[in-house]
Amino acid sequence: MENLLEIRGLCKQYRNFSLDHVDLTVPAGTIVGLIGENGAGKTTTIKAALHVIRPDGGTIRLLGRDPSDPEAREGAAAVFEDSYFHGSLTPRQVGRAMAGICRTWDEDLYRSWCRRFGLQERQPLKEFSRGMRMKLSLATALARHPKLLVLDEATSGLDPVVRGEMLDLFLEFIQDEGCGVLLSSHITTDLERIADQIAYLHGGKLLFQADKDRLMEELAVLRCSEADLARLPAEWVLARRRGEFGQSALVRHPAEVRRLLPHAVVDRLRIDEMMQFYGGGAEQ
Amino acid sequence: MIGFLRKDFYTMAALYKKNLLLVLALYTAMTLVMHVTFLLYMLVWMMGFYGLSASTVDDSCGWDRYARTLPASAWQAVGARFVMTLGMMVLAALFGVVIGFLNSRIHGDDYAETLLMLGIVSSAALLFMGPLLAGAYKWGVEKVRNGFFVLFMAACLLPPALSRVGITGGNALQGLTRWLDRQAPAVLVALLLAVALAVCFLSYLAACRIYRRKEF
Repeated sequence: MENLLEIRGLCKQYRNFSLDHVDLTVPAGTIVGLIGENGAGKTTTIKAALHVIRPDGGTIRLLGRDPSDPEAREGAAAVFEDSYFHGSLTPRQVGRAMAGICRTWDEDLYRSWCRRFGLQERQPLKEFSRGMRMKLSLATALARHPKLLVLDEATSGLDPVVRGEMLDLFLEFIQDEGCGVLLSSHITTDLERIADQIAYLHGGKLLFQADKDRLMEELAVLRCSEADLARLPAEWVLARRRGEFGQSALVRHPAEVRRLLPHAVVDRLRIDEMMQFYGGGAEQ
Repeated sequence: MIGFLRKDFYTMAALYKKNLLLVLALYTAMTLVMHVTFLLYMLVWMMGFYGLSASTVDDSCGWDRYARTLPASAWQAVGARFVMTLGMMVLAALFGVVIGFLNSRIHGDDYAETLLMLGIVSSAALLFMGPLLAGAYKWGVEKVRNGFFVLFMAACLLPPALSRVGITGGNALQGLTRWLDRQAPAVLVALLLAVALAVCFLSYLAACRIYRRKEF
């Protein structure tokens, strides 16, 4: 399986923040969910991958080439949270502009996506809702026949119906096993639904990139008393939090934990809860 | 490059079409009816600033951040801005040629002199606009526009201010003036235009370098 995006040892220094030796891979045929708290470095990582900023260290291979090579960017399409086309433009004009920039632009495909999304060709973008603008951005990206789709908070602020449509689209997109998606999102339920891998950025460092299903099988959230928690081997407890009604802990080997503590509550891992353990001041 | 040009053209047309048509109509009327010819020359400057404002529009949309992810080189992205701005200035100059001709027929002005003036002002506008476009990539449109007005005022006010305190440029300036008097006006305009185009080209190279190193 080829890697559509390979980031090794990425470093980027700003005054109040730095990315510290981030490694990230997007294999073909997968959806990689990139999670992290606000300011963790998700957008910085994506910008570096797409040549929007220059790394201070490390290497990035985008479709086998340096991102500064326009050929590399020919096969990668980005969708950002905010619309980047002026409100006076219409989808038809956007299509004509993009046709003059991207060699792989498919005008028929673009129109078909616009029809599927219910976008009027001659309606100015300033009259579009947020969901419609996001659909236009997605149509613009998909009409380029990209191998890698990179989305930075693209589903934020969308209603559940539109979000659901988008997620189905991403699943449809990777039916072509040569394609992949890097999806940065705060909506962790979306990632639980469609991501194959989860990469967690925290404070400018990548804590892990792991198979989502394996992650959710191998970790769980234990809710019990302090005394019960003390009965578990220390290496099984990754993080713990004290609440009003007892302890909760992020634990390994949920089956063994259930066997050892049959009366304790062992919940299936949720990504947002995992982030609260790592990012919410829990004891590690 | 054509895609960037299309985007800018569509945006500028939507934002400024009516305003521009009104300005053209007003300037034409003022020139032909009221014999206020300097407006024809100022149109070239105005069109340059219209082109510059396309950068402001891009900034407000976050377009450059997205454009950097597209398979386009700095030459293309920056080149489109230069081509559009300078193209608009050329169109304004051609408009001046036509209206200047009508003006000469109506008011009896020397058409050759009008063309020479248009050539000088257009060349001067080109000379400034190239560095302004490059500066917009470095410092942003607002700072560059303000800087331009400060420099322009200094260029206009400094020589008379200096001569009041006895600093006149002496022999060098007199020598230059004598040399200029001996040249044919058309040659001077052609020289000024050549210098302006050279400065524009150098500004384009500088702008590409700035754009390549810029982060969004």
